[in-house]
Amino acid sequence: MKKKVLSMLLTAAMAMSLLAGCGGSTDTAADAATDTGAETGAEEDSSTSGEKVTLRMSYWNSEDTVQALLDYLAQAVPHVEIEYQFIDNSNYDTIIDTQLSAGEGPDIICESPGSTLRHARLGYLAEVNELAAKYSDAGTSVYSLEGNTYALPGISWFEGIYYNKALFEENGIELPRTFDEYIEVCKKFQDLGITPLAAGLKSWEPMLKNSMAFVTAEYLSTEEGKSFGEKYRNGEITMDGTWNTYLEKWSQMITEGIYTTDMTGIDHAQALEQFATGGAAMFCSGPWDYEAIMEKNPDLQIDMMPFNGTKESAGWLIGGPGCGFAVNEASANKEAAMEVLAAISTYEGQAALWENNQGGSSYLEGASFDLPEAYTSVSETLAAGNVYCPWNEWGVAASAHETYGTEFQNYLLGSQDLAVTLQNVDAAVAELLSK
Amino acid sequence: MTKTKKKRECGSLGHYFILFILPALIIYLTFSILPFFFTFIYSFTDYSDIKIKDLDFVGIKNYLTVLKTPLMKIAIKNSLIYAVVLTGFQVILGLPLAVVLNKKLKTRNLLRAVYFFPAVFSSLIIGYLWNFILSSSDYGLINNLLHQLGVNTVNFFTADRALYSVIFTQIWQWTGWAMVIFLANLQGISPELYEAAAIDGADGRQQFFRITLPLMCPSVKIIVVTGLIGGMKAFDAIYSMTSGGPGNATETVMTVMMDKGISDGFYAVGSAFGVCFFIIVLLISGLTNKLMSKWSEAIG
Repeated sequence: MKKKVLSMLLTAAMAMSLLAGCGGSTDTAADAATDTGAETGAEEDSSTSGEKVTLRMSYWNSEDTVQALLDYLAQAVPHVEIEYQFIDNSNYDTIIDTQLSAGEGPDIICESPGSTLRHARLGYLAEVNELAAKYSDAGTSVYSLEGNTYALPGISWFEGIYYNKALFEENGIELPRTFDEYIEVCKKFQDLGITPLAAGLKSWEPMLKNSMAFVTAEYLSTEEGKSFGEKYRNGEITMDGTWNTYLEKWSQMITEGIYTTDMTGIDHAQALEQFATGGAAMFCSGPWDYEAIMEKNPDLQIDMMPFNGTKESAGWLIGGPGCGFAVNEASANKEAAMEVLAAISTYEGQAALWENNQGGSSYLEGASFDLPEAYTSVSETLAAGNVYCPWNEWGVAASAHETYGTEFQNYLLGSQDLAVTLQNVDAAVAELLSK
Repeated sequence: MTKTKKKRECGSLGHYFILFILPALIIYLTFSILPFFFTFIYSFTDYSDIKIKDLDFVGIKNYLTVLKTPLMKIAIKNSLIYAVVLTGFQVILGLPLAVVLNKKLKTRNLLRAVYFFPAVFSSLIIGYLWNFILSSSDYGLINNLLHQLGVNTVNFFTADRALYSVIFTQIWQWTGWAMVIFLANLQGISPELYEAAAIDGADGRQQFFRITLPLMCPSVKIIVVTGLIGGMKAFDAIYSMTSGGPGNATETVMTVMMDKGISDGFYAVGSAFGVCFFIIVLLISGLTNKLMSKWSEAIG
């Protein structure tokens, strides 16, 4: 009897939970219907009933990196509610590709130059030519395909060499103005028993950026090298045979023991820790790491110096337009999404975007912001516009920059020579261009 | 009131059982069989991130690309080393551990829990944890200790050592799991066999090699087959600790498949990778099963 009562009670509980589940799904369905309603008939709804349009916006950086922008948009476009979706960088392209190929996806998509061109070719993105006219060509060219622009550049990113001011001053070491001087500075620190450069070479990124900055200063910024990116993406030139001389010189970074094989056991966070706690004099990174460094050591006095070539110049930073704001062609709220992009394309919009990305610069004509103190030593570089990201020019083969970094790890470890390293990068680029 | 039980004929409940297995069957078909079927179809097309509609049949072109990919050789070699070394150590360490912890020790329950504990965590978490422990920076736990002892930095992630460093962490994580399987098998061996052997004068070593080891065949088979298959599919531990690097030193079949097939957008080539991988794993499983069956027969 007891068993019977117990089983009846359990059955009743299961039935209740099922009903509760159904109830929940009804609510969800209702919510979804409301959302869909908002998406499909956004304009009518917002204009007639004053209801908010919900737009989904995806980005590979966390919400706090655009918080000021989201706050600004809430005021500037009050009838639009932005649903922010953070997707980790390592899965970002895969998730967005899948969603877009299914005719879905976010209404506003933050795109890299490479993914913009790919998605534009597939017809996933709406053209934004009218708004793009407000930005400089340097910002919009990487998002343009066959005469149309498909994304609006956000605040530029850049990477240089953070340095510990106290270590330089205490040891009477001057900031280098050329690559050879930089090597000398590193040697001085080595003689003092101080690690000159903290580098997390477990990642493919540090050597990629450092070596490309040198090639930029030596070759890509010259008249002869300016067209390399265009020729490279058209399959008219290879890296092997063109970059070898410059990279042979840059290899002093390895032969002089500044980059060591031991560093392949260190990741980015550990290298940052080493620099922040005074264990190394320099660290290559950008504004996105500034807060993390200062959190670890609030007393640390840092500044940033640019990468240098063999000749004295204003120096170079690796960077460019990173995230471009694009509108999903299949979005049911395209007009509302364009309104948001229009709000971003104002001085106020750029100021809000800059708020959480201080140090970068805006590509909007007439929008410029003060440089924080931590970037005093690169002010001349930024003023000269010496910020360049070589792989942004590689079109659909842009993702091969990761192969470049990986192949340089092999080069550092002595598994292959420079020519083979560059040939492998060329092969990866050719494979991507063949799609 | 008397109850009369309704008599059922043998097999008359069959249609109820079909209903019971239906949910699991639908899930299995939807998430395993159907995707595999599509993977097989896509492997003969030109499906990529810039061609997602109107796919063309390209024959075995993608399979030739897979075989020509220079990384494939490194990936298969690394995956095999990973699978064989990990499985081997799971058996070599797990079996004696299970025998010891099957004895009447006061702390045996605590020790069983301690050895099994790492298996509870995701390989990703274990990877990140060991990343910190093995780091060659001053903040790496092991190198910090070595520095205090006056020993120079040891880089556990050079091209030669990185794969074995990852395997070591996985042995640490999964030996306890193998131990539990072995323990379950051990507890099923009749104590009378040991009593009889003791009466016949067999010592502990002889009892282990003549009674325990032969009767452990079923659990060893489980560990070897699942270990080899799991090892060949290694991804999460590699991803969290080395991401296939430095250079390509720790690339496995799965990391190459993810890079080429997913990240680079060559979906059809990725599908061909998947099918090739399926065949490799099928062959290894078949071979292992056959060898283990021969062992069982030899014992029998």
